[in-house]
Parts: sequence; C-alpha cells; structure tokens
Amino acid sequence: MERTVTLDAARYDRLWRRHLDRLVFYAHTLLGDRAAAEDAVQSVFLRILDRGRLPDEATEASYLFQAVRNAVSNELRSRHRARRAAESLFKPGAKDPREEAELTEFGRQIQAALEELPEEEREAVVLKTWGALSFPEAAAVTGVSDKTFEHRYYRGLESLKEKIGVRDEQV
Amino acid sequence: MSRFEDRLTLLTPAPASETLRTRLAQAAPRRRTWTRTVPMAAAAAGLIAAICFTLLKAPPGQPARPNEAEKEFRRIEETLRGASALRVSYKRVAELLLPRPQKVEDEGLLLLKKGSRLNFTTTETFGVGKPNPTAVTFIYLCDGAAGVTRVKSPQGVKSVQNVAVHPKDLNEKFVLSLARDSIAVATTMLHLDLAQLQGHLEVSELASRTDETGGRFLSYKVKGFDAKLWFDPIRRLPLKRVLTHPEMGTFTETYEGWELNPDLSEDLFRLPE
Repeated sequence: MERTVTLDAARYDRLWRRHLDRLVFYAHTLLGDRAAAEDAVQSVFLRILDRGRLPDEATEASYLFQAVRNAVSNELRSRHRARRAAESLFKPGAKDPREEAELTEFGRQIQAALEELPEEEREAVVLKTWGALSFPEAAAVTGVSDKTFEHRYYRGLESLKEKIGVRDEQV
Repeated sequence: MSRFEDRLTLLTPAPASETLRTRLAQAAPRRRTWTRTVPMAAAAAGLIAAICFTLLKAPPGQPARPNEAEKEFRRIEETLRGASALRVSYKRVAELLLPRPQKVEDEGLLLLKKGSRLNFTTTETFGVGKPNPTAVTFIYLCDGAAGVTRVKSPQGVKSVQNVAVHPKDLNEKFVLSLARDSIAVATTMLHLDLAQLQGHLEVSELASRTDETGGRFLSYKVKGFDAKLWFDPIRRLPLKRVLTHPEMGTFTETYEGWELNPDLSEDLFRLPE
C-alpha cells in the first residue's frame, strides 16, 4: 500500500518553530508534566504530517491549540489525574541580574498560583496571556462563547492577583 | 491591558527541549513530495487483529462486553445523573426538509435540580432567513409536585395543557434526552413514562471516532437518525451533537456554560400563581 503526500516542508518547518514553545507551555500547564506535554505536542505535529495537510495560516494558532488540547484530554483521560508541575514553566528572561532575580521570583509565584487556579480559569489565563490568542480564538479552542471565556479570564486574573497578594497598582 | 497583565507577559515560557526540536525537525519531509509505504506485514497484522477482535468481542452464548464507546457514553450519562443540579445553555439549528425546507433555531437555558425541579426556557424562531421570522418562547416549570408549560408568542402569554410537565422521573428523562438526543425534544416526550422513553431513545451502533483536529466524538444511531456527539473527555459532558435523517433533515445542537451542582434557589422552580 502506498500513499503519496504533498506538503510544503518549509511551511511545516516555520509552523512548528513559530508555535512550539507556547504549545508546550500550554500543555505543561494542563498536564503538570513537562515530558508528557512535549509528547502531546509532538503527537499533534506528527498527526499533521500523517494527514499531509497543513492548517490554514489564518487559523493555524487556534487549530494547533485545539489539537493540543485534544491530545492532552486523551492523555488525562488515560491517566485519570494530572501530576503537579515540578519543572519551571518560565525561563529567566531579563539581562539585568537584579531584574532577572525579581522576574524569577515573580514567575515562581505565578506558577504556584496558576497551579491553584480552577482548571478553566488557568487555561483561560494561559491561552490569552502566553498563547497570545485573541478572545474569539481562545474561546473557540475551549469550546465556549467569547463572553464565557472573557469571564473566566478576568476571574482567573483576579484570583492570581489575590493569591500572590498584590494589588494591581503594586505590580 | 492592566499593569498586572503587562507584567505577566514579561514572563517567557520555558523553551521546548532540544530533543523535541530535533524530533520535529527530523520528522519533517525533506522534499515537497514523498511516498510512504505501509509494509504488507503490518497490513496483514492489522487484518488478523481485526478478526481476533471480532471473535473475542462476542463469544457465542455470551453478551458482548461493552466497548470503549459504550463505556464513554455511559460515563456521560453517569456524570449528568450524578449531578444534584445542573445548568446549561444550548443552541439548536434545525434544517428541516419536511413538511417543506425551512430553518428553525432554538436557544435556551436549562436549570434542573434533583427532586423533579425544572426551569427550562427555550425560544424557537421559525422561518429563519425569511422576511418575517416568528419567535415563540416556551417555559417549562416544575416544582417537584406539579408542572406547568407557558407559551409567550406575539399573541401574548398563555398556559398550555397539551405539553404538560409530569414530575415523575423528570430528572432521569432529561438525563436520557441530554445524553442521547436533544434538550429540545425532551419536553415533547415528558408525557411518556420512563420505560417508554428508554425504548424510544435506544442507541445502537455506538463507535468512538476522532475528527481531523483529534477531537473525539461518538457516533451512533437513535430514532433512525445518524448521530455524532462531541464531548469533553475530561468533564464527560456533551458539547455538540449533529443528528441527520435523510428525510427529516439535520439538527445541530451545541451546549455551553455547563455547571454541575450549582446552587439553584427554590424560587427558580416556583409555579406562577
């Protein structure tokens, strides 16, 4: 049995390089396990290769997040519960050592607070903030209306602020 | 964007591992077109596995073990059944072929609480896409002891008797309708007793499938319709269902804002004076 598949290799390459880190981040926040998150993301790209068809460029981000969400759902279903995150979600990003230390501490607090958020709120904050999706795109990924998604997002933000014990003006 | 949101965006997601990057880079096609060959041995193994599965699935004289799709379907029903109360919004688009081609849209909110407490409001718009669509709102209320159906139409509000809401087994009837068929038709079947409804909504040919984005759905047959049910595999709740009948048309129903065990005041189920 033979199957010939046509696929734009250069576009495929751009596709995974453009979205890989934030997809792994998203899966990591859902699964609480870096290795499992990478496996889930890998399965999505291998599925694309297998199908031999790339998603439309206009909707590729929401397509990929949705596909990762499905892969994660299947993984969670098979293991029944998520493990808690052990590895850091964020990488040190600042050049100035003092700023980097502050940012690292802030990242640590946010990671701990994220883990305590209800799943729906955590997902909303992650998709919007680090997935860089618009409200309609992120709402489509999670299968809810724009209004419901916005509500979850802002409730999640408020919970984060409460959990790390700062008011907006202090941040 | 608030200062807090700005601050969050300063945090950069940790990069994916080099191992994953290497795997994805190596998996990419080196040419624009390539040919993949599935070894005949693998195909033969698949055939043998299928035969074994068929033989093992239903040993003579024994009932077949429920397959994964059946288990999944039952889990959805159990999730709904296990909730002491639930709230869900829904939309339904019916593209009817009979008695003449037309589009009807329904939109509503279901509040259901153990003890046959029901507050279900649905607005049905007939003649969608036509010059003068007509909207009629149905309100089904039950306080656990008695039920009433009210209709709001351009002609006014009135109570109707021909779609009476019977309290008996109300929760289970909605569970069955939500899991297998549609919220919208639940109300048209409230006059049936539970055994009749179970027979009417008997499901066959259940199979678990995956769409092109990896989303899992169940396909089955109910009431002569081909049904596809997309569901949230984590919360085990229906998300979308498409029912197709060659003569009657296509019904697409979506559910959102699921809340299980919300605190629903008894006032919501109080019958009008």
